[in-house]
Amino acid sequence: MDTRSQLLSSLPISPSTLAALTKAGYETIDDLPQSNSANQLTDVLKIPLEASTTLYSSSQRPGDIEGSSGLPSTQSAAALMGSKSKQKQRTFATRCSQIDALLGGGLPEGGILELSGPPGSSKERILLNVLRSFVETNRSVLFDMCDPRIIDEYIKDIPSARRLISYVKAGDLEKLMVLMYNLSSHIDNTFELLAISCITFPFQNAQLSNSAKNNLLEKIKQTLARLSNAQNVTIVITSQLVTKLLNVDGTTGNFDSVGAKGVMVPQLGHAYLPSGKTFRVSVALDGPNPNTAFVRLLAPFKPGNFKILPVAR
Amino acid sequence: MLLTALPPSTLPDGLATQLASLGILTSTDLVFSNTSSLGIYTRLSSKSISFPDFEACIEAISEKLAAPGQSAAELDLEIRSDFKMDTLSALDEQLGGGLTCTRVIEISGDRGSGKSILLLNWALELLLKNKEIEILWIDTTGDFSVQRAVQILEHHQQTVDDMEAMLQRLHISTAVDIESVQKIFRALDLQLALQASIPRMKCVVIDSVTPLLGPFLSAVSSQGHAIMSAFMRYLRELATRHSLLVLLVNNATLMRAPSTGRSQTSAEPVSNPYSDFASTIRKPALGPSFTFMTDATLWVSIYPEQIENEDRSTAHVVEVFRSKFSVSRVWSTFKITSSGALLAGPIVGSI
Repeated sequence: MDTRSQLLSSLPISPSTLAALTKAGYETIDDLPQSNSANQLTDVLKIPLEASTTLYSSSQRPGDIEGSSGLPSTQSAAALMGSKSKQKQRTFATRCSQIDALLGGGLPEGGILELSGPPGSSKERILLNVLRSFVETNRSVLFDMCDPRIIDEYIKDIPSARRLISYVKAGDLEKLMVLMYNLSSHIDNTFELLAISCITFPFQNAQLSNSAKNNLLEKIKQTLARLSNAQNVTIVITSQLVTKLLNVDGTTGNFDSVGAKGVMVPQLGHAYLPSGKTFRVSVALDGPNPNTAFVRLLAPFKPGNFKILPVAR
Repeated sequence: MLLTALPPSTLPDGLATQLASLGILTSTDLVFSNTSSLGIYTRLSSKSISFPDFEACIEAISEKLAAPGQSAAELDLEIRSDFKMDTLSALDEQLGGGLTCTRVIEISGDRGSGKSILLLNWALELLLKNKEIEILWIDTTGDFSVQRAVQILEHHQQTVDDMEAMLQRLHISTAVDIESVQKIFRALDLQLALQASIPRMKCVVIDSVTPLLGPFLSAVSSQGHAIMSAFMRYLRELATRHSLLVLLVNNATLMRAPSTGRSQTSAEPVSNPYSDFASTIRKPALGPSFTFMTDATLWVSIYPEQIENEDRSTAHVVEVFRSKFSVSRVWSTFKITSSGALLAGPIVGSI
């Protein structure tokens, strides 16, 4: 048997078409009659016309088509690296020079930024800054947030802003998961920035077992990965902090452990973010002094990567 | 193969249509039919050829149908001359020299156990050793970072130009569902069939395969299992046809105690009987049959006992749960440094 001819089961045809073809005895591409027979095949086998035209177009050798030798959605690692170093990738400014410095020049297009911090830190302001950068360059935005009036004040001087920003309000966990499901199933989303103001809020009052919560975080990660990779959507998320108690040796402790230290970490952890493209920045206030804050890059991890930020009120 | 598609030298014109009217459409129908060839001959409407000629036709067709044989010496030579992926030195001895091509290997483990970084190290070492190979890394979760690869290459003391050349041979695809992955594989199939270029794609890594197949598996429908079997069969066929090495990363789920007659909610974790360590309470995901669709299942986890390490590296262990081509139930430790590079671990064991 000619092992080089391709099996029909590897072509993108529906199972019913494949069953009809197999029943009639067609197993490989060589079995298909050659001469303009999409109509003929339809008549003989009683399969729909679109199915047989798909069959013929997908079975054509690339010698017939303008050959592109690359695989779909594939790049070499050198190309990935090269585009970063040559700054060909578009970056968006957070208008906060220290954070821009931590991010290496700004938030790259298709990247994901998580901002975490205590209430009163300027993470919401930074999110609005990124939003503004997008709107000023005439790009559309999908904003998941609680109160549209805050942002109206902020962008009233930009003329096309109202047209470019779409709002959703995913106040509880169900609405958030419905939003995630809709985002991942629509192939042609029209927005270029997804801004989620406080992703931790829907999780706060939900009574969830650990495994259920992990499942939901996995789904969120898949949606974010799909948006960022396939559709090049930039994503900015703010997150609140939660206290985590660590024992002296670094394992998780509780309030009863002796010598346990309390650390504030982003509430949902890192399980919901695809780690290849995410920057996680923590914004913290500097004690009683309301005018300075610390900004620290949590991921990708480089030791000592933090800056002091004068906060403009 | 359809009888009508055979050239007229094998099967005379007109005979194919006569056989079709008897209900014999393909070559397998003819060769393996229940009625003897004499029975078929007598049912032919017009006898345009003699019976011995008819039998000779059937002989010729079955020769064409048969798979070509290969002597063991040829097979051995082929395996020796093709590339091998080195794993850990201790494990390589057990695996018969490393992972050879035309194999589909599953690497599973819990979250954070080090499977992706281990595979990345193995892939980069293969690229280092063998300048004619290209590797395709299919990233389904968005976790691949080029910086990690660069850090590992820096650990191997590569110059910038060398690194550039090596990273040209590492191709990264992003695909989040099974259809996109199948599209990539079809394109790869065509590319490998038509081009004989050097460097050539010889190794495919899918990190990870669980989100592609997992959502379809359910207890009430077998569609998910059918999708999984069809996909794995296609992968194996691709691996054999183009002599590729396919590495699949699988996640882990909790072991459940086998249910007894009374319904009993067992709160304590059950340890995995395949593992040498009692602390393993998880097993590879995608169901009990997935392990039989691959040639070997390797399990990666954090090493449960404390090892002295001054250089801020974490200790892990890789166990061979099941293998078709080598000894199973062996394990070997390894260390991952903070920059992601792989170091050999001190301990090796077997059950």
